[in-house]
Amino acid sequence: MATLSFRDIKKSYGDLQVLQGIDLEVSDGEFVVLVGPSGCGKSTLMRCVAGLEDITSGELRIDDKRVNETPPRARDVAMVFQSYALYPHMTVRENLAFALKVRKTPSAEIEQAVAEAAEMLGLTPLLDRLPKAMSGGQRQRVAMGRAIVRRPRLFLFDEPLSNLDASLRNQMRVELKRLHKTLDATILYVTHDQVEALTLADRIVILDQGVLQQVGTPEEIFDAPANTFVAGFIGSPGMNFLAGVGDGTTVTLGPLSVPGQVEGPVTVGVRPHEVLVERGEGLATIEVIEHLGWEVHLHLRLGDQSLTARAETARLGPVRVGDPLVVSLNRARFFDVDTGVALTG
Amino acid sequence: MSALLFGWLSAVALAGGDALAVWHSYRGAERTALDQVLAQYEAENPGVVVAPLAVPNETFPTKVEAAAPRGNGPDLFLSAHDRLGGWVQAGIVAPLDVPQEDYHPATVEAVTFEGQRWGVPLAYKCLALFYRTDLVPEPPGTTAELEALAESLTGPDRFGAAWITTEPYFHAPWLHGFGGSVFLDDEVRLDQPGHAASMAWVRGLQDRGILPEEANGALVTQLFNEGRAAMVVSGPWFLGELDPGVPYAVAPLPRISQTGESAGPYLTVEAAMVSAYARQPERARDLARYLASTDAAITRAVDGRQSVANLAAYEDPRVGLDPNLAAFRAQLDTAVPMPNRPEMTATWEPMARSLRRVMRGALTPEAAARAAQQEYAVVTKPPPPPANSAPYAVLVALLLLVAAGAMVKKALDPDVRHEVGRWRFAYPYVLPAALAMGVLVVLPFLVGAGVAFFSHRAGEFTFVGLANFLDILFARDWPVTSPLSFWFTLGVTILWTAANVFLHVTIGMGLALLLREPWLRLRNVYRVLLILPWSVPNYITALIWKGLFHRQFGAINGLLVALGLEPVSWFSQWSTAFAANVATNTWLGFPFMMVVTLGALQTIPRDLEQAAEVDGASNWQRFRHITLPLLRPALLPAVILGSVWTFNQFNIIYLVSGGEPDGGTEILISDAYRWAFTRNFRYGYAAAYSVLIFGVLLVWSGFTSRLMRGKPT
Repeated sequence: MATLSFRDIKKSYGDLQVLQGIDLEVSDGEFVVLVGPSGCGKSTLMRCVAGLEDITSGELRIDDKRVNETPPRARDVAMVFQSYALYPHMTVRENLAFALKVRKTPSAEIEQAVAEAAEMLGLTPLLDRLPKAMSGGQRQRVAMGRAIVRRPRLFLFDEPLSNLDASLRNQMRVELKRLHKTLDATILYVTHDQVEALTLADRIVILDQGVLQQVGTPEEIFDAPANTFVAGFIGSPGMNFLAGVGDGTTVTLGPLSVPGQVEGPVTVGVRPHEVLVERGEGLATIEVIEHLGWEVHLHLRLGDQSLTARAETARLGPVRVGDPLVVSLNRARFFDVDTGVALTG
Repeated sequence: MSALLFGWLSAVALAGGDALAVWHSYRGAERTALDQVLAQYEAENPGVVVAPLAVPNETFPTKVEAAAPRGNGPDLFLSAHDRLGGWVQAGIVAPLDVPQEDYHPATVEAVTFEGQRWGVPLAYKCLALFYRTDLVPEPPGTTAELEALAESLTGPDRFGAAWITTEPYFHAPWLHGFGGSVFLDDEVRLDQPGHAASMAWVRGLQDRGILPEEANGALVTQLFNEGRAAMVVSGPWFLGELDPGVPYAVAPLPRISQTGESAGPYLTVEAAMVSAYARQPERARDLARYLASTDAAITRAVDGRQSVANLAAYEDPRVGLDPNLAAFRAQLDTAVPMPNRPEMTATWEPMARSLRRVMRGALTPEAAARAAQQEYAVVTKPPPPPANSAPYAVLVALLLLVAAGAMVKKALDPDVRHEVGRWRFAYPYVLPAALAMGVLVVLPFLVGAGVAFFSHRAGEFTFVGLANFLDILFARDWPVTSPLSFWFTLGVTILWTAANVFLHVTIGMGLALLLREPWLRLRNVYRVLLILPWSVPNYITALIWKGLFHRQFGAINGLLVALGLEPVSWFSQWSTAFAANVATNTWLGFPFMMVVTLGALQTIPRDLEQAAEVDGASNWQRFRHITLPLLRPALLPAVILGSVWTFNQFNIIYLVSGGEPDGGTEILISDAYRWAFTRNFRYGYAAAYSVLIFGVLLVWSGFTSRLMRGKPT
């Protein structure tokens, strides 16, 4: 198990700078999820850790040793690729054994390690199959098995669940969590799926355009987003952003108001579940209704602003498009209108 | 097929109904002069139509032999006399008596076979001495003078004299001058003292640097044009190869000082011969005499630049005072008619080999001459006794019966009938291709395989059953270790194939992997450059490489010398000759493997190699365990294809080493060619070789198809 530290890591391809000075410390046994939209640099950052990309400037340390110049095979990290990258000409057993075989591990040890990993992932009956004769979920397990079989210092997961269907993804998430516990491993995990990030991470790292936006536990990220980007990225449906004006004690947004110690124009962030709605002759009108079983998402028009609310189907009662609703805000966060940075208030 | 083609050809020749068909192989001025004479003849004989047809020189004999007996051939044909004996024996040519005193006796001798005359001599060709008048004031009269003169003109990179020393035709003047000959009392004797003495003399000239080594025609021409060779032995065609402005003159070859005899170059006589199948024999004989007449001869000499056989023509000053024609006319007096006996064709290869052996110092002249005689005896051994064809016919009939039975059984199978009916609309579309395959592949294959059961001598095919195969497989005529043995050649062929395929694949794959590296700049430029060797016709490449490996003028030896190393006589030892062949073919072969590998690499996701890298594999382990196994499915068919191509890569062997030394680097396909065309036309034996080659490749393809099925990926 290992610690990992990024010190002002920069990476550019010619004129294009994809990582703009990343600073981050990952402690031993921690599960860190890198999350951000496509092209934010999260995969590049991970590939820098694996050694598959050169670091343009800055320093990368594993266990407090600089590894910028260390080739991938000497870094003792394991990586699970989005495509799984299973060796198509090798059976599951050979795939699992490969990393040990190239290290000239005695065959008895290899056998034992493969058997253990296979047992852990339920791959034992599949050991003699070729990858092409397996389902996506099984391949995914093999990819993970290939990583854990050699007990590396550090695990890298590059969007490992993105090619699975939804139910399999939920199942694998739980399994991954359990695996982390069992192995007590340091894990760096890249995803663009906030649910994976929130459920798996000890800490979440949010990246946008090569810049670190926020680092924190899932609760911190969800409750106290550092800026509008983080606030909008995490949470589903996304946070509502409304224009408001504060007078030092109250912030007014059209017909509504919420308490807030800010002055002047601000961006008000309200999560959909914090928008409370009731049937009645209110100020909001229903534009779109999305039924999701026990809850319902309502896209509302409120004066010249639109916002999304989330309500319990049973509690709300029957609604139709065009119905008026009474709206109130349970809680709000305030952001600088220009920079999007969170304001304390 | 060939019958069809000749039918068409002669139909063209016969355009005009009852025209007199005249075949020749003249081009340029000679052809113009001939047409002129023929027009004259038509003018003098109203109602007679002559239809001349130019047939390329190389194919002339085979076309005459094939067409004449079918009645599609010429009435009269103008051809070199050296195939005459074979044609007489095959009954293709009719006797033709003319007043022989009008022609030079040597030319009359040439058209005489077994006491009978078979044609009218029209023109002749023989070697003479060409010399640069700026270097040689007076041509040498004797070989002693030639040696002294040449020695004084020899210097660094300059030669007193030059000729193709390893070609028996160019050696013949000296052979005859030293008292040797090919036939002695109607027997081929290549071990007469004259052979050894003449070869020793030429070898001496080469040792003293007077003659360039391993000279070929192009080199001789180049040296003479550049003034780096003062004297050249060559024939009238050499006039056409001279650069404009080169100061030259032609003289008869010098007398041999050691024997006092004249040099005796071979005389080739172009004669008019009447076909035994001529439709208008009388008219053809008349035209033959007309062509040879003095007036016609003057036209051919003056306008066609021919050395004519008609002696009266030389009284015309335009002919008699022409310096070139006069020089060849003088040479004619000592020229030796090329023997027109069929045995002659089988002597060239042993004689050429003995010359090469002497010139590169592998054998003494005496030993080389003895070896030549032995080799002649071996390749002309009497044909196997005729075999009873009845059992074979029964066997073939049985096989056909079984095959027919199987087909009938199939045809009665309702499933098959249903399938056949289902696809009936597809048959017309497949038909043209099936027909073409049948005519171009299946039929020649069957005919070729059939010929393997016959023995061919002088146009006669005799059924000999399996004798050819047994002779070959049990190496009955020579030890297994002789280069003539099938097993020796098979060994060389397998080694050749393995070495080539190994080098093609490793070099091609290495370059493909290199071209993929992101740090390499100008990748596309390299890619194009590396494919270039592939896009050049392979015989051109082969000739270039042959030049590179030249002992005296080759760039490779030039490089070795520049590095302070000894030059290598590449084609004198088996290992270096083999290496030269392999180097040439590797140059030609690696681009294909590179292209295949580049294509296959595109299909391997980069992820896999990166996964292996993270998994801890070194570059070699990554290649060995990931890249190579994944390239395998694409490379295996390419390797199989490449191995078959290489196995039958005739061009390189024939053009680069030519089988040197002593046939040791011959592969099966080039050896089959030798049996068919340079060793007494043993078509049956050569066909048996081809069938055996087919068998070897059949076994190989059976093995490889199992390999392909073997391990799926």
